Amino acid sequence: MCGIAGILSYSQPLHEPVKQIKKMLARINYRGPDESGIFLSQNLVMGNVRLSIIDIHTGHQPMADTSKTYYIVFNGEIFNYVELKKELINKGHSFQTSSDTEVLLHAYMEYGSGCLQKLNGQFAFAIWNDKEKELFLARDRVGIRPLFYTWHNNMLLFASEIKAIAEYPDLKLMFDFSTLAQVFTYWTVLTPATVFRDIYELPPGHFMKITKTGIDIQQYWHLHFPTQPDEYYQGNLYDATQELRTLLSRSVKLRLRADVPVAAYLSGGLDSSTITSFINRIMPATLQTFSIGFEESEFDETPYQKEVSEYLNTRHQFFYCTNKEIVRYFPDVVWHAEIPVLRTAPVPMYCLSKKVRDNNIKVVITGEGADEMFAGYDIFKEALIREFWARQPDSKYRPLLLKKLYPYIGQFQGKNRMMFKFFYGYHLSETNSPYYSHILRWKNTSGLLNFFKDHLVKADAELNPAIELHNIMDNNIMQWNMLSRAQWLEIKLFMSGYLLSSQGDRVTMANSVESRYPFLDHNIIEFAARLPSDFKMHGLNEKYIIKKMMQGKLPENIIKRPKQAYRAPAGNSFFLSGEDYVSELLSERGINEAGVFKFDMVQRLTDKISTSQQATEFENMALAGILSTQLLYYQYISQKRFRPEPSELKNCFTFIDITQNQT
Amino acid sequence: MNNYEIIRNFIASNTYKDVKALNETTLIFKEGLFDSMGFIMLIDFIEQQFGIKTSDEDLIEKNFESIKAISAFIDSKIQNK
Repeated sequence: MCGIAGILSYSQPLHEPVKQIKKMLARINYRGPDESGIFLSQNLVMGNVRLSIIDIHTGHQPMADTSKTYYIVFNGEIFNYVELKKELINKGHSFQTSSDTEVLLHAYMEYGSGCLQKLNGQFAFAIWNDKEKELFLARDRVGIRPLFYTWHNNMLLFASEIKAIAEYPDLKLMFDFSTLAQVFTYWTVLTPATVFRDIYELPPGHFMKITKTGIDIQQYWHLHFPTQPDEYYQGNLYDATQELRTLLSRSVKLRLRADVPVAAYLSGGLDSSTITSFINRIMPATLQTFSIGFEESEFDETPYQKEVSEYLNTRHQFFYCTNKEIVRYFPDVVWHAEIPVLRTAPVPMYCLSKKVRDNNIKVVITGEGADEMFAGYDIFKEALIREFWARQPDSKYRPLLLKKLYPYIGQFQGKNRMMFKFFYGYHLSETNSPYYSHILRWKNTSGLLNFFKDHLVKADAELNPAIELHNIMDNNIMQWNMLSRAQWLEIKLFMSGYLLSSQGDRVTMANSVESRYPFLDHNIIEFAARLPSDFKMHGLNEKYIIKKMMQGKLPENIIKRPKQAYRAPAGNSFFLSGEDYVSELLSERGINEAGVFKFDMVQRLTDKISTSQQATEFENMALAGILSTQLLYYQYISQKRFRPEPSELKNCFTFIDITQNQT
Repeated sequence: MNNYEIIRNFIASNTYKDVKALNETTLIFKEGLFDSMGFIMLIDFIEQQFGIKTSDEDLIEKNFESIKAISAFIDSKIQNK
């Protein structure tokens, strides 16, 4: 695991390339504190900061092939590098190291962009072909590892994080208000944009080829759901359970490949318990597990964590994350996330990875992805209930199913079932909209746009996802069933744009810890997509196939417990914490200087939250969203406050300079 | 302030809407201004502010679809007290 960065220029000589790349890499040195390296040619300078995990002693980067034509910098892991290496040796390749980096380089030499289909991993990398003067950038299928780029004075700048790009002289970041507004509706920015003007991400599952004559960006992997009956998995539930067991076992085994100890996160939920159980079978009684608990019982899952760790006999460590810590570390997390967050939930993950790193662990395996692939979230249930209800909109009983999701609806007992229509009836009949599952959530969230200054965002405009999402939508979506459509949206927007980034890569790498996700092995993703809906959501029983698979392998309590969404405290903790930054950022001066929000609205919100015990979900989202946007303004736009001092690039063990050969 | 203004201000303040953006016929639920928690707060507010009690029979769409409807509902409740 690492961080990468580079500057490419065909039209003009690179200006002080080594100095610039060192600055860029130093900004993200936490991604790879073990060593760093630089490659320099006439057109391209690129480098890497390395967190050494596989082939610690010879896997240095940048790396070249023996003909000195191809050069690579690489962030991530190719888990099937052992198998791929054998295949390449059979084709006549020879290897100098035992690293996955060298295998990746040779796979590209052999197959070109076709190598991506063969990779099982989480990666973002750059390969320079010095003969053709061609740069190849690629990113893993679902966006576990990040890669950003921009065009600046006819140069391409790319890096694992935006903050590295922003180190380039004269490059000034500015908010893009239209994409900033997207965060306050969809919870993320629609790829390939970011909240900063002219800064883009290479979308998950895409590669980009840059030559002197042009740029070619292509999608190499699509998430498909069945459109015809014969495209569904053809076996019965028992067969599917067995197959999932085999796939997951293989996936976990591959993800245990490392030359350093690997640990697991144990949240106390079904997904991480399942993964821990699989690891335990491979390496019994030696696994270290880590978990986090909260002061408020509403969010805390420690009793379940204790139960699973005892059942599976892991060496478990609990950590508590206090409300004070959440508030204290919030600015650091926003600095790492580079996008506003509407929740504080990434902060405890940041604290947890810190503890893990303090225990000398560099790699953790977690349960992320199961909720998306096997339909664990309430939003899937909500969509199915609404669809069921919409078939008989006047039914008195169908909407009552929503009580399962929102127990407080019980307050409306009696004859007033009409009430359901008020909240869950929004666009109820539009079951043929591709966004049916998410329209209610987006609509509720988009109320946050009222806080924006009027000239920046049209808060009262009708929500129009058909236009905004047009470029990223899959043409087949209307041929998929309701659950598949909902899953696709959740994977495409929430998982890549929030879960794996703000709450994933950014908060683990901030503490130099690499996370691995067995449920996101593409073989499992593709398998899950083919399953009939009721193998995933059985009635309203979520992740049914996983529960079946784990019967007898985990405590009944864990399998049967209702799903608890991972959330963290927010609200008035910010005002009780005594942290000066909160009042500073929300002051009239602070709000007006950043120029994004209306001060009178912000004041209304802060008065309400700071004086009442209970903030609504909407108000919590507003507070986190406004505070994080304010922080991003000071960290990235004005660059005046709340940002760490730049450091020097350390341990630069590799320096490949081919400029002399070229003149 | 009359009932209409009181209700409008309450809704504006709890949905963080500009008061000017709300008129008496704005369909407050159809347009997704309020979520279910918001509705519970609205009922609480009306009961406390106007000293009336709402029964299950009162909680129908007709009485709550717009600010105008809510004001009329409150008036009728007060008259029948």
